[in-house]
Amino acid sequence: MELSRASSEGSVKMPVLIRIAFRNLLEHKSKSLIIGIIMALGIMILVVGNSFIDTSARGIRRAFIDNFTGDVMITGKTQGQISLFGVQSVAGMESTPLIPDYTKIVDHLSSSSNVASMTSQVSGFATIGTEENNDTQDNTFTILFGIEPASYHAMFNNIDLTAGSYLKPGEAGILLSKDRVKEIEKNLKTTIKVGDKLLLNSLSNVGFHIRVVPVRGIFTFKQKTGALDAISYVDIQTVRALLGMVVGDTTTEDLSHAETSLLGSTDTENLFGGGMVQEDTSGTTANNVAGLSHALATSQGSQSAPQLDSGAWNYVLIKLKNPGAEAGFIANMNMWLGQQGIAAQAHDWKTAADGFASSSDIIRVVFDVAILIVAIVAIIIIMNTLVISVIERTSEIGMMRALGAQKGFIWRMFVAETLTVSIVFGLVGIALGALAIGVINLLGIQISNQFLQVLFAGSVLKPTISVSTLVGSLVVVILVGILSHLYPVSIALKVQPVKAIQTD
Amino acid sequence: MAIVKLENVEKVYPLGKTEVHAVKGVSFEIEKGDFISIAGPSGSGKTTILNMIGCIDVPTSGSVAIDGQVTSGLSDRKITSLRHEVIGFIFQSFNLIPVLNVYENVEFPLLLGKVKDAKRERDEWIKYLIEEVGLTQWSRHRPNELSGGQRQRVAIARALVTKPQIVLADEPTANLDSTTGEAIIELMKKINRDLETTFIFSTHDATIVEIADHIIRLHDGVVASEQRREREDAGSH
Repeated sequence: MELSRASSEGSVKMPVLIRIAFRNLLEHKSKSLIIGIIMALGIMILVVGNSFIDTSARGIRRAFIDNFTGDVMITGKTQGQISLFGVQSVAGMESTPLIPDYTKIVDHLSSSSNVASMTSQVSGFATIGTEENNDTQDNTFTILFGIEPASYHAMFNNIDLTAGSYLKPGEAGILLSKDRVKEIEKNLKTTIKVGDKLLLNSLSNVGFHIRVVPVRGIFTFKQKTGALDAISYVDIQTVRALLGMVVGDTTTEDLSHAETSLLGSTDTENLFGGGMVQEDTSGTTANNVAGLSHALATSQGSQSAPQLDSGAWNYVLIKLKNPGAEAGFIANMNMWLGQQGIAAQAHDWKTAADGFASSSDIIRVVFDVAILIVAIVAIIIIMNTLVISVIERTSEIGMMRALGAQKGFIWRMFVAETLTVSIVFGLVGIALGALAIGVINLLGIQISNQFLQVLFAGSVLKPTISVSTLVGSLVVVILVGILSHLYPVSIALKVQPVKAIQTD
Repeated sequence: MAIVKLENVEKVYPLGKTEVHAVKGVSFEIEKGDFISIAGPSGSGKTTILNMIGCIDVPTSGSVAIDGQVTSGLSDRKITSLRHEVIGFIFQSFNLIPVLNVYENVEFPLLLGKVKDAKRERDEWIKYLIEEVGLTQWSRHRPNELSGGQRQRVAIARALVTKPQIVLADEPTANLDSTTGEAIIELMKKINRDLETTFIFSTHDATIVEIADHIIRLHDGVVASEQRREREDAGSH
């Protein structure tokens, strides 16, 4: 007698398994519905949630890449975490480094075929006052972006001028947002218009500096970005001076008489030999900060500061022709920097944007954890339902084994049933999710909260579904189905044909 | 040569802290083409012996040989293959697949192995068997639309579709009325004559027992008597 393995191989045609699977679904409607509703609802939530998160991630990405960071940021090396707003370090004392070998880096970037555009920037913080009122309590905070206006505005077309003009190369000045203007006017109880002179006060690691800048223009941001609306654009020379940058700027700085007298007022030869209190020989009459500010702002001086170099930049910002190749570009850039022995580093836009960009990542992590918990609960519920189903079909399984069905056939039969349920109800869930997204788009829900406006890249809620979300959701539902059936099928495969027949 | 041979077969089942000796040293042979009834009261060991012949249970000691092949020691895969190739089953409670119709239930065993015949030949064979059991006009109906007798006929057709050498029927008429039961046995006999398939069925119904050519009576797990009768159609084969 021939016991040919080939002739009894579990090579059942798929159609009969699928036929049995579908008909069992219809035959046991209540069980199928329990499992199906759990799956469909779960997938619908997954589709809608991921659509919101994907839309948010895309929105934040576009908001920052298009408006502030570009695709890649190059900086000097730091101990702490660097972003476009400075360095976060434990003691909070690490200053933003200058980019070493700036010209060499720029030349290298210029030769790259993937660089669409680039610009350089210095960042800092200041408070804004006027010549009439520079009291720190009334001053308005601003983030300073010291820019080279031509390349910057060509790369980041992110503002609409409502008054005045853009900064001209080599011209001192400040561009203020309308929000900043309102804030200044409210705090200082004055009106600000183009041409007015403002005092910028900055405290950095190298000291306290004040500079006068004329208002060259007033603008609004094309896309609201929440806290970044506090940005003001200032000419690079003014920002360098405010931050006391002594490497990189070669222009002569005309100091006011008051500033000159302040520089000379400390006699180092008598620092430890004479009295600690120096006689005031500056000729000023200011006895308070306001008075000093006035003196600094209005006095004229002729003594020059130490010569500054023209390459003093904190950041080089780059937009790529092929943003998809960002990771590879950054890796290659860092390798080149290492080979050249340059203490600089390339970063992605998320690093540049600091905590602002990580909000959607945090939301995604929280959402994924919630989904995982829901999936585990779903698996347990579905598994219990399938165990009951297996027990009810013990005699059917035993009969199939008695007729010559190998264990592999029984396993495939249950896989076919589980996959059928998963795919059918997964598609239902996806359809429901797509419908929900469509309805939300149609409703055109307005967003008034600034943070949410940043998160969703606009003032109207318009989530979109990506192919990856749809495919990913289907994969998840199939995985849930397969994981759910592992234990029940292991029970089914252990049942001996004789016991199965006896139970009927 | 005997198609089925039992030698000193014993079967012991654990029952809590005690043991049940269902079969106590049974030996007999069954020839090819036999129409044999294993008879005895409840608890005599009929179903146990049938299960061991059908390779869905293994003896505690002794040996069972099917067509010269001793079944103990075979792997699960080989035993399953043996069941598929050589043995057909007719169960007491029919055990049809509820979501498949008559045609599909009869076809099912053919789909468990590699397809040997062309689809048309398979289709013709299935329809022949359905016709033989008198269910042609019910071939697209599901089991829940059939009577008990009709379901058992489907089970008979299914048991024969792979052209097995042996068909085992465990109390095939237990859930049927006497008239239907006799009809089923007559059908099995007809197929036995026409296809020379060995039929081994267990029963405690005396009228059904008498229809068999070869009767093994069991009592308390041992062979009480064995009786052979001349086949009515012996001369015609």
